Amino acid sequence: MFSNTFPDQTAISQMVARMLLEIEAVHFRAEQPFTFTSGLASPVYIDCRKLISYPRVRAAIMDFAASIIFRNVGFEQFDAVAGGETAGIPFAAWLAERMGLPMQYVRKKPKGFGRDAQIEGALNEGARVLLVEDLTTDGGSKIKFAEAVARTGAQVTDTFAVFYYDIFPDTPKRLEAAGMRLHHLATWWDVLAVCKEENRFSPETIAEVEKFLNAPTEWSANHGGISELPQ
Amino acid sequence: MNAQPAPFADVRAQDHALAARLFDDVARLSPDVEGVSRPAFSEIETRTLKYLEDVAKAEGLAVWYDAGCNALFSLPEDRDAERFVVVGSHVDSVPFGGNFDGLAGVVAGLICLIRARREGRRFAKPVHVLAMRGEESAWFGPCYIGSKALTGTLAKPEIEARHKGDGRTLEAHMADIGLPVEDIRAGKPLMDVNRIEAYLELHIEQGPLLIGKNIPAAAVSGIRGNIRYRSITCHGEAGHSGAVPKAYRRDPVLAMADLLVRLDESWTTILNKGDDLVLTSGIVATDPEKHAMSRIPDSVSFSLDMRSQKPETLDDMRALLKSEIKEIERDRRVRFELGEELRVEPALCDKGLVAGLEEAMRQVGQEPFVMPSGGGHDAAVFAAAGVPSAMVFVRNRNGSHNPQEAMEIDDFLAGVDILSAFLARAE
Repeated sequence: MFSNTFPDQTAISQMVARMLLEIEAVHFRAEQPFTFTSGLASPVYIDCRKLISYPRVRAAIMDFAASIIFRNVGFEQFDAVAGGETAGIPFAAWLAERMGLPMQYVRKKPKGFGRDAQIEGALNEGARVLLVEDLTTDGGSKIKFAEAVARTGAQVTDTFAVFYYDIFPDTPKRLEAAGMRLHHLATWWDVLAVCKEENRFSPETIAEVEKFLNAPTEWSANHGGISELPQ
Repeated sequence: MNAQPAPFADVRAQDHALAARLFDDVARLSPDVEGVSRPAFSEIETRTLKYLEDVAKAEGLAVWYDAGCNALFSLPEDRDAERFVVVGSHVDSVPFGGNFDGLAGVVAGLICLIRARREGRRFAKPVHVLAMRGEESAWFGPCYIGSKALTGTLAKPEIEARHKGDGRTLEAHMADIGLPVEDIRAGKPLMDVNRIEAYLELHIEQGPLLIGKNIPAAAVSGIRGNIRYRSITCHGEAGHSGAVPKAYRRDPVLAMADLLVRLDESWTTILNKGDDLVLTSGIVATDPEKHAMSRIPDSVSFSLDMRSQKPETLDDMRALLKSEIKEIERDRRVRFELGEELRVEPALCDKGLVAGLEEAMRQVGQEPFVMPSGGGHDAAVFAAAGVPSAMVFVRNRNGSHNPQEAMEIDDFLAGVDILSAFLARAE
């Protein structure tokens, strides 16, 4: 169960950024870009799934997650914690355990038909659901998962991601329009700050990364990726 | 727009008219039901070269043919140069093709020569413009036939490949035109590649990047290689679509779909991790003699074309293809036959030449931009033969290999400007 400490959000963000760098979940590479599923070319890549393999890191992360949600939303505001397939599932399980709540997971595609064809686990009508994923890029997958939950008669009111890109200005508005508040532990800006402070990566690499973070679609278009995000 | 000085505007208008005339005339020589059709090693291809020969001669250029029956053009004083830069491309097209794929590169080279001739300029190094035959794989199966013949790298199965229309071999078609098929079969190069300082090729872009970025032209960093299977067959078991329960089925179509979805999912991950890959099954067919809506087919055939900038990624994909096939064969009780595998190595453009092209872009007032090439080009064959090679891409709407390809002459001339500036100062 949750250890009941409530560190300051800035301290959490900085520590999580350090953890991600420590376990080498963060990759910067400007000369040969990564391509996101949307087609966006990027010099940054993060693999949050790696977190599950480091017990001390993941325990701290899940404690931070519970503290942020209790503090920002309240202690008695949820009836269930649902993980988004695939990477969200382990995080949802640990968080459900800490929060003392039932757990489900939401499939990317329905299996068969029926209004709960996309949900595994029992979910009650009218339940207030916390949706969990490892990361949020532009919020697109959160919205699809929340729609699947809504089809069962439950409602995603809040969503949690360990990592939030925070580089697409429309994301908070999109999530808000879909009826969700977003909670997260760290962003690219936190990782960038730690990298600069600790002189990780070359100045040229950092400069390129900053260019991307400030104008992602422009950087993408200049490096062989798409020039606008699909709506 | 700032007003340009009159002489420049005149020259521009002249170039514009010349380019438009050449493209229109060649299109008229090679009409198809829709678009153009200039089959590899055909009479139409020969006629196209002859037309270009007449245009070049009228401009006072030297014209000759090499052993591969490709046309060459130069300033008269550069005809016998010991070493030279080659500006090359091909004049053949796919059926129902667009007019600019290939031809644009030849016309670009010619305009560079004609400009120099009219202005009484010479190039930093002698330039030979090479108008090649037979680049498109649509007619015989193998690609880059003309340049492979020149460099002595046309493989035996390739020379024996059969024409999709008349079923005669490539060798027979080449012999008709007068190519030395014995030498080609023996892998004897038809030209001395050591005399080539550099190989340059202008081509229309076949993807959407330059449209997206809104610039007329770019330099190319490298050309994807490929592994291709013309026909993979998956064998299952025929049955009645209503009568056979799922557990008793050995459905080759679902097995193929399973394989393609697995490859598609790995593709996403490979891109996420920063590697380069594209893959396509352009031909998919059950046997029309036997197939029916209510019949579980006994087999399905499909093509697979996997391309990457990196040879390791091609190796990995081949290994992945084989391991996924093994798993699907076990799960679904089917059997895959891969058939013949064709492979072309990825080619990297020469760093010095790319930097030179970037400099040329700056010089002509264009933002330097470098991008990879998705499609394959003769430049890959020259690069593989050890010739420093590079390319210029010109913005083009609607892709290529179709009549809707749409290159603006102004964009084409922007590409020619880059090429021309580069040739004037080539180090």
